Amino acid sequence: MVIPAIPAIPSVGSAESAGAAQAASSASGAGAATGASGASGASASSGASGSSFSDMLGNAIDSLDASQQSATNLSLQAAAGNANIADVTVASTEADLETQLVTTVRDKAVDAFNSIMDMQA
Amino acid sequence: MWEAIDIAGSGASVDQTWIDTIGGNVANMQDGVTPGQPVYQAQYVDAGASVEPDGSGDGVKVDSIDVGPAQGQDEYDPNNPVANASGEVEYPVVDLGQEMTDLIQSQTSYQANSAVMSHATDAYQSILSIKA
Repeated sequence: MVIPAIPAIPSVGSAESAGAAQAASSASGAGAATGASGASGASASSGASGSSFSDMLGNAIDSLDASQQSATNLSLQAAAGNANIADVTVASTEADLETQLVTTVRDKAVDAFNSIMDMQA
Repeated sequence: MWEAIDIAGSGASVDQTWIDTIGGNVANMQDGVTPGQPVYQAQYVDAGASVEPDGSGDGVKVDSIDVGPAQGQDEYDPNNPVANASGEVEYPVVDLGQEMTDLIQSQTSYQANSAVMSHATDAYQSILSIKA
């Protein structure tokens, strides 16, 4: 799955740094952190924060896709009588949780973006 | 990610194997054979902790399936078609009371692992629903 790069958001205050820090901590949980700039917070004024966020979101969605494929395959095997019910439950629960994690991170990022866009005098 | 769910899932898988062996033992306890022929041997799950290379716990796994005695118990039943010249039939050594007790234990253990899975899911969802 290819995710188009999200343009870098200029660093304008705490809203973005909070969003980036959350994104970075989620990424390290998913084992997908690659030089996330969230730790440096508001001082990350270069375009790096934008590209690393898109990498993180892309990796998260790749991982989500793999979880869902695994859950689908196990469900098919269970329907054919070849899979352990516990394994199917675990796979589908994890796919569900991962979907919630990715959408939560996406919502937080959109909130951060919107809160910046709303700062019009 | 989601380690607690994976670990509870490994426990449920082992319990599933346990229940399967109990079912096999109960289903085969009346498999009479002519004495001297191979008789069904009861199966018992030998479970052990599954440890990752760094030493942290990774749930439970089936180490091996142990089998009961190869020598069955003889019963006098001269009308049985498989009885030998002295009227004896050999039956597997399966203690039905023990199997029923194990069945209750394995069922309770399965429910416990299922509860861990359910509560871990609730915990993960609660951390995901934190509002800024």
